Order: sequence, then C-alpha cells, then structure tokens
Amino acid sequence: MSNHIYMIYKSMTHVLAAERAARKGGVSCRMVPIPRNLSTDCGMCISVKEEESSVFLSVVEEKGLVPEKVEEHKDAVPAGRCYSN
Amino acid sequence: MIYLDNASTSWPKPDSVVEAVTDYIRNIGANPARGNCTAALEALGVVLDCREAVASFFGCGNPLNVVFTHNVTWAINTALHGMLQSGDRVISSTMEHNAVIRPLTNLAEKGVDVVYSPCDSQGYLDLEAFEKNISGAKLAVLNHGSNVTGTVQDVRAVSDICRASGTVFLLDAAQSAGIIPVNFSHGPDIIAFTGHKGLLGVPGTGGLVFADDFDTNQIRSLAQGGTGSVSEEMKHPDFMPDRFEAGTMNGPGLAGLLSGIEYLNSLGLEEIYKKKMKVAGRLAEGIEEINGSIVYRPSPGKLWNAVVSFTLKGSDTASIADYLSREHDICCRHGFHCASSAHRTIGTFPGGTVRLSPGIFTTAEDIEIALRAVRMYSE
Ligand SMILES: Cc1ncc(COP(=O)(O)O)c(C=O)c1O
Repeated sequence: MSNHIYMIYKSMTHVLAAERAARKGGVSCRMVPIPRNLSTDCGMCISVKEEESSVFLSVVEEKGLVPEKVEEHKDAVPAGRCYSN
Repeated sequence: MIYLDNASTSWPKPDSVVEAVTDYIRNIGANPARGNCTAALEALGVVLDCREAVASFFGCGNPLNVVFTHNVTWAINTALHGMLQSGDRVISSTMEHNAVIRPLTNLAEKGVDVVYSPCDSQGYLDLEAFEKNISGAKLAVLNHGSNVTGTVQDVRAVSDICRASGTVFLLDAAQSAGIIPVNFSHGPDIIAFTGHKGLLGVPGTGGLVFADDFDTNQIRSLAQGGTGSVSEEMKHPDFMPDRFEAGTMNGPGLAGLLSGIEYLNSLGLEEIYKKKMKVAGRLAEGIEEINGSIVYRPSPGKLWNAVVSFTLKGSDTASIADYLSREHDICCRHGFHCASSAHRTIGTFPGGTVRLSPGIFTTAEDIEIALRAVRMYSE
C-alpha cells in the first residue's frame, strides 16, 4: 500500500479550492479530517498518494494554493470524500 | 403592481434564484466552513461556486480574492475604514452615493483629508480637475454608474490617472454590475458590488473583489470573529478571504447570487443592455414629450445605466411618486436616492427627482402604462 501525504491548509475554503484545482488538473485526491496530532484545527485536509504529491503541488501552486504543511501519513487513510463539481 | 424601482433592488427575481435560495434553506442548511459533515461541505461548495462566479464575472483570476459582505455599503466601508487613517488623503466625486459619502465624512472627522472632485451637469467626472486633485491621494473611490442619472464614468481613463499617481482605485459598481461591463481589464484595483440589484440576487449579499496583483494587506479588517479556520488563534486570520469575513456567511443569499449571475451569463450582458435600452429609452423619450418635463440622463448614444430620473415643472416629486403609487400601483422612488450631492451636481437640489428604473423583466406594456400615468398626472 502506498504512503499518503497530507496537504494541510489554513482554511476549509483553501482545502476545497485546492481539491477542485487538483481534480481539474487530473490529480486524484481525497478530503479527509485532519488528524488532531497534525493540527488542532477542526477542518479537513487533502490526502494525496505519495507518488502523486509532486504533481499535486505543482498544480495547486499555479493557483496560489500552496499548503501550509505537507505531512507524510503512514496509517490507513480514513475514507475520504470528494465534493468537487 | 408595476415595479420600476430596480435601481433600489431588482424585482422580480428569476425563478431559478428563488429556487436556489429555497433549495439551500430546505436541503443544505448547514454552516459553510463550520464542521466536516456532508451538508457543511456542500454549503461551503456553494459559497466557493459563488466566489468563482463573481471572480469570473469581474475578470478576476483568483476566487479567493472575492470577499462577501452584507451589501456594497459594508464592502465600501471595509475598504475605506480599512485603508485610511488620519493624515491620509482620499479623492472621490460629487456624484457619490451616501454609501461612500457618509463613511468619508466619518473619516474626515478623524483627520482624513477628503476631496470631492467636480462633475458636470450630466454627472460626468471632470477628468482634468480629477488629475489635478488626485495628487497625494492614497485612495480614489468612484461611483461607476450613477443611481440618479445613469451616467457611466470612464473607468479606464480614471484608472490611468490613478495608476500614474500611485493611487489605489476603488470602484463602486452597485448600479453598473449586471447592466454594463465592469471588469478588472478596465483598470480598477478593487471592485465593490451589491448582490441584490443588477446581479439579481437577494438582499444581504455584496462584497469586494481585488485585482490579482493587489496587496490586500494594505487593508485592515473591519470586524473580527469566527471564520472556521485557525480556531486555536485569538487573532483574526490575515489570509484571504477570511481576513474580511467574520461570522456566519449568508449561505442562502450566496446560493441566490450564484444563480443570479448564472442567469445573467445565460442571457449575456449585451442582450440585457439592449433590452434595457429599449424600455428605458422609450420611457425617457415618452416623458420628454410631456410639457414641462426634464429627464436627467446622458446624451443619447452614450453608455447609460437605464435609470429615468425626471422632474415636472411646478410639481413636487413626492406628490408625483405618491400619485403613481396610489392611483396606478407603480412602484418608483423620489427625492435624493441617498445621493444629495449628485442632485446638487445636476441641479435638482433640493427638490430631487422621480426615478423610474426598469429591470430585466420590465415589458413594453409596463412602460406604456407608466407613461400614461405620468401624462395623466401632468394634465
Ligand atoms: C451607487 C450606489 N452605491 C451604493 C449603494 C448602496 O447599496 P446597498 O444598499 O446594497 O449597500 C447604492 C444603492 O442604492 C448605489 O446606487
């Protein structure tokens, strides 16, 4: 099973905007709750497969949506959700 | 009722707008950016959709540069109070709405140097005088389309003057948005808009849109509070759009605004302008045929916001409006339209004018009924 990278943002608006940008750019990703050990914020973050993370970063950077933190996550990823349209 | 007060707020709204608002209330409900439940994410999705629609409508490349407020008054206050301090200079015009004049008056009491640059009797900004007066101004704020005469200012020319003097240019697009093009390609740094007029949304929506290269750190936030982000911090976030959005957003209103903009996009602004010119043009010409009438509008052929402001010699504007409402169930507005300085400029102070403002759904028949009613009053 591949590792996942958590892309952590300042706000849920940024998370949703980044998720939309990534999906438009053909990168598959999922929105998952931020584990409390990574941030005390109560929102969600974006989980990307490790091998797709550099593509993700370049796609979102183009939109000015650079994550605050990028964290490796080795445990099983909780079931994510996608709300883009 | 014949509704001819679309410059105050547009009515009726497209069915799709009514449906979007009720659908949000009935079926989404949750608080955007508060919590991770499906409904809250869906709500946030509507708000982001609306940001994207507003950004693209005004030619802004970054939806996070769209900030939502209660209306354009709140948006303008955010920019003016957030940017100006004692010792700063700000330039505006004599055609402004109270949404600009009152915060500027308040700021003048706090030591801000406020200059109102002159406009001619049709309401056009005197660009030469503006260029002279702008020296040293940190900010320029200008009404794009007059709510009194429908006069449309030359945004590109004003932008050029602002750029040359290093002055930030804030455009009040309350009346123009949804009727004539309002776009960052014409040069403003900040566009303030309201959702419930030409954009066909419901009251309680409006905002600021910032040009892609504008540094929003120049503006302090007006209100601080919950944003659903960085909740562990006591300090209000400084990033966009949360920087200027404290408290629960108007989700149903933004669902309506999104739908209103989609409706405008489906018709096309050019089509809308043509349609409005047809009805407003006929209305203005019909009133001009009445003895003793004066219609205050730009010369035919010039861009026009489709508001028909008029006086009848020897008649009180309040009595005309009262007659139209009482006898013919015509809804219009008389007096100063929250812009007494504009009335001084065009020479209609202190009597004001009667303003008939057709909307996107006004029919040729409505106009004929209104014209008959004004004629009957004048006889
Ligand atoms: C030019 C102009 N600016 C500002 C406003 C204020 O709009 P709102 O009441 O939506 O804040 C209006 C509306 O009457 C207007 O015509």
